[in-house]
Amino acid sequence: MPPRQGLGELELIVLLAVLRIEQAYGAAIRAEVEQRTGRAISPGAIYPTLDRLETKGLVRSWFGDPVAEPGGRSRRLFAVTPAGLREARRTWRQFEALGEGVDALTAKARTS
Amino acid sequence: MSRQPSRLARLLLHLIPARYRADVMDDLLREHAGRSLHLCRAILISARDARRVRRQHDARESFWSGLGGDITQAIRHARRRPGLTVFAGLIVALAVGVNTAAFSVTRSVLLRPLPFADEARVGFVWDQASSGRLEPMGPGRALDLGQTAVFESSALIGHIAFTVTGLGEAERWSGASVSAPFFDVLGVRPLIGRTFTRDDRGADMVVLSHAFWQSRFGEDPSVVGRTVVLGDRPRVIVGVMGPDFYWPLTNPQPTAADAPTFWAIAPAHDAPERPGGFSADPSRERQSGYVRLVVRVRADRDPASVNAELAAKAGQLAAMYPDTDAGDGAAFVTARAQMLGAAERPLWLLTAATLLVVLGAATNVAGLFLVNLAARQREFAVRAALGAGRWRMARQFLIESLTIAGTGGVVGALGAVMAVPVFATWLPSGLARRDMMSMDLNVLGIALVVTTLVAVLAASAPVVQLWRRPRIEALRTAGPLGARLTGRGVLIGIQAGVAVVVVTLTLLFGASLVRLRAVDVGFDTGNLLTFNIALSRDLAPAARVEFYDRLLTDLRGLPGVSSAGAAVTLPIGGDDFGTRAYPEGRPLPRREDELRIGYQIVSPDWFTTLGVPVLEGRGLVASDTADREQVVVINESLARWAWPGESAVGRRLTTRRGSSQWFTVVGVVKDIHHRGPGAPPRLELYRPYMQDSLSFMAFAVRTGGNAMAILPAIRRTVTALDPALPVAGAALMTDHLRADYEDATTMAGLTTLFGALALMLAAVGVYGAVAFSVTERTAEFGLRAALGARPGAVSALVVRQALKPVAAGCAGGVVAAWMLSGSVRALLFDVAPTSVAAYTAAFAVILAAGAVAAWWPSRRAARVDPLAALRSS
Repeated sequence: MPPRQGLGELELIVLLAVLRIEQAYGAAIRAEVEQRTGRAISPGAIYPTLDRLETKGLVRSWFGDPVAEPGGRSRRLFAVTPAGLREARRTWRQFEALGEGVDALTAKARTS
Repeated sequence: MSRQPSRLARLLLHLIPARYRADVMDDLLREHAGRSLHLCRAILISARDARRVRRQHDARESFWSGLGGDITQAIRHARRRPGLTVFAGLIVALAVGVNTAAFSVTRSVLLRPLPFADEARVGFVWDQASSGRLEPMGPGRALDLGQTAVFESSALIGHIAFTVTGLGEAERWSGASVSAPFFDVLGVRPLIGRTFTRDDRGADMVVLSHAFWQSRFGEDPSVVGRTVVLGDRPRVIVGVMGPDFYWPLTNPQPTAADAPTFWAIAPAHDAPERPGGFSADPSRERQSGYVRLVVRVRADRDPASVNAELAAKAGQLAAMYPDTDAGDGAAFVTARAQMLGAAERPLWLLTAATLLVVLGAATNVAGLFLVNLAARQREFAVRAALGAGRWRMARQFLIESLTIAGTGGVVGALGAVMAVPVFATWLPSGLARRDMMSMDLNVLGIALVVTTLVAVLAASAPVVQLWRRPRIEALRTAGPLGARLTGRGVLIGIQAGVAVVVVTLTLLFGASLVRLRAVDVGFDTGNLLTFNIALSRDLAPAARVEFYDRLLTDLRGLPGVSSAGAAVTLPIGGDDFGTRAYPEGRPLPRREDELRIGYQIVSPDWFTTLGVPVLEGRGLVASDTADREQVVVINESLARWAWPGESAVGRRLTTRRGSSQWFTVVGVVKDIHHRGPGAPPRLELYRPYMQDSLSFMAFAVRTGGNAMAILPAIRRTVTALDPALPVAGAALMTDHLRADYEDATTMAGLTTLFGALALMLAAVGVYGAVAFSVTERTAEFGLRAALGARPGAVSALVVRQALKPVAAGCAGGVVAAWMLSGSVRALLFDVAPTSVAAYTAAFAVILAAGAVAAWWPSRRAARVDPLAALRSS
């Protein structure tokens, strides 16, 4: 079922982060986002967002092999679905279209 | 390496939604291991973020979003399981159809107001004997009682049939003779023309009923203003009532049969006309009870207080007229109770039965959904794991349920629209307002309500099931080992109980009908054609007798006729004339101890024609003429009452209190059921028409073969004697008898229909529940098989377990039926409502049906392959 509304900001960020990394699990995605944007995302925010994306069919998940440490649980791994890719592109293009010429405008605003 | 979190941290973790708790904890422990304060702070941040993210999502997606998807999915599911869909749909269609049809009947008959202005103030007044029995009264007394201060207005009604001339061939119309204020009392308007007013007192005017105007005059409006000769008097048709004017024959015991076709104004003295003609001043007549009094209670009085005022008035009248009015009370009956009273109980019973069907259907569809849920457990577990909330899944179920129920509901409602006219003809013709049944938006509203109700009830069962079961567990295994019938047990228990109630009723009414049909009415009803003849009231008694004699002689001469006789009232389907009997030499009884004796006037060969055996003495003979000894033949019941243990022949009796006009008993005949097979034989006396005649008679003609074929010849015979004389009411005695069975036949038919429905629903319910449990318990049965259980033993186990709730439900049903049985007592003939046989049989039938329904799916349990079953779990 295709989403009616566009992606929320956090959803887009998480989706792009999942796209970027190979072994995308919760902590890894948070690390990627923090490293790239300087923005810290708490575990409390990341899991509901991933859940949401999955319900919308934009990412899929599976359980990986158990982590080699005592009591280590198997990690839930995420990957972007073709629909997710399309949605990410669409939203990205919307931003691009809106951002066109914004640099020049901000430059002008700064000089005046 | 993660250390155990502190107690505070563990407590705080509960702030995080359960779905994410484990994941979040994993991450946080790894990052903040050993630093308890940091950990606690991080947990709080995560908890806040989780809520914030959820809120944003919720804002973006309301309850309604994704509804379209759910509906498409519901339809897809429905199509993937055609068996379930069609079956569940059919059950709903049946429930909605039956309910809608039944409600349209109840609505048309009971719930619609009567067509009178301010209906609650209109009612009837009856004479009340000391036994409590209600009776019509004499015109003089009715005029006095109508003057009671509590009444705003009143009118007198008498039922009468007139011979009609002036419209081509002579006809016979039956209708009412009413005093002029009749229509004013009711506050009704005609469809065309006008009704009567007080000023029309004694005028020769008549108003026609709508049904009669339609059937006899083809809705010709020019009929208003025409003059017809009605009962020897030219009268003007001044108006026609509308189709809504419901006015049945009014009798002390509420019935709804045969509405009058006309209302004619009574003569100037306001006493309605009657078949036998009048004495000089009928308004002084207080005893011959043929008058009905209809009244309107004053607006400022409470109808409940009427009876007290009437009692006072009756007391005054008893003091004024001690000879005639002493000992008689008066009772007020509202128009609603009078006209719809007879229909009320069967219709509420019908409504209750249909509600039970709805309940049964809902539990059944719920059961089927549970079976379906068992098959789809993994699907729902996955959806839950993917974050579908409980409400979301409940909605999914509700939508699936509504999709199936909605389709079934539409089919059911359409079926009801088509069925109601058929239903209407199938109901007893005496049922009030049967002809006014219609389908309207209110009725269809009920269909909608019933459909929704079934859908919601049906959806709630799987939802509860789903919520109770830990979802993660469902994901791991196909079904927990050894699941028992619990919630479903209650469902099938209810269904079995309902079925027991309805099947018990079916058996009671069926037995009642069989008993009724087995009653020997006391004479041979086969090949007996009956019709009515009414002569002019002006004809002298001698001329009447001569006419009857000649007609009987001519009838006997017709080819194929073996005998012919006449009686003033026909047994079964005829009137019930009453008189008193005072045996000679006995002290006069107290008035309240007087018995009502059936009064019959017959031709000499009446007993031979009907085949009523003469037990003692002789029948009536042609030589019992007016100038000879006044004779009477009595039936065995009367003989036993009047001269117990002695021979009645040769004794004398009179029919008037203190009269010296004695009748000598010449014979005793066997009892017949004059008032139909459902009523006990009356005490009865027969007078020869040569000595006591009225201007009308019913004739009975016995033929060798098809009795109806002789009718044209009879018409020719009558016309040859008097061209202006109509042959009215020609019918076979078997038709009269069938009409008498009608109520019992309808009740038996209705309960059989509902009994079959309830039985089917219960069986389907058991089947569904057992099929469900067998699927759920595959692993258990595999284990049993592996441990050496024989297939027969497994099957027996399943059936035994399923029968436990069925038996419990049956027991509850027996108790419920027992408690309800009192309300059907009046509708049963010769069958006790607490008949142990009926309850036992119903119990056994439902239990047997349950056993068969459980055995069918149990065979699957017996066939489980142990290896496959154990592997799959």
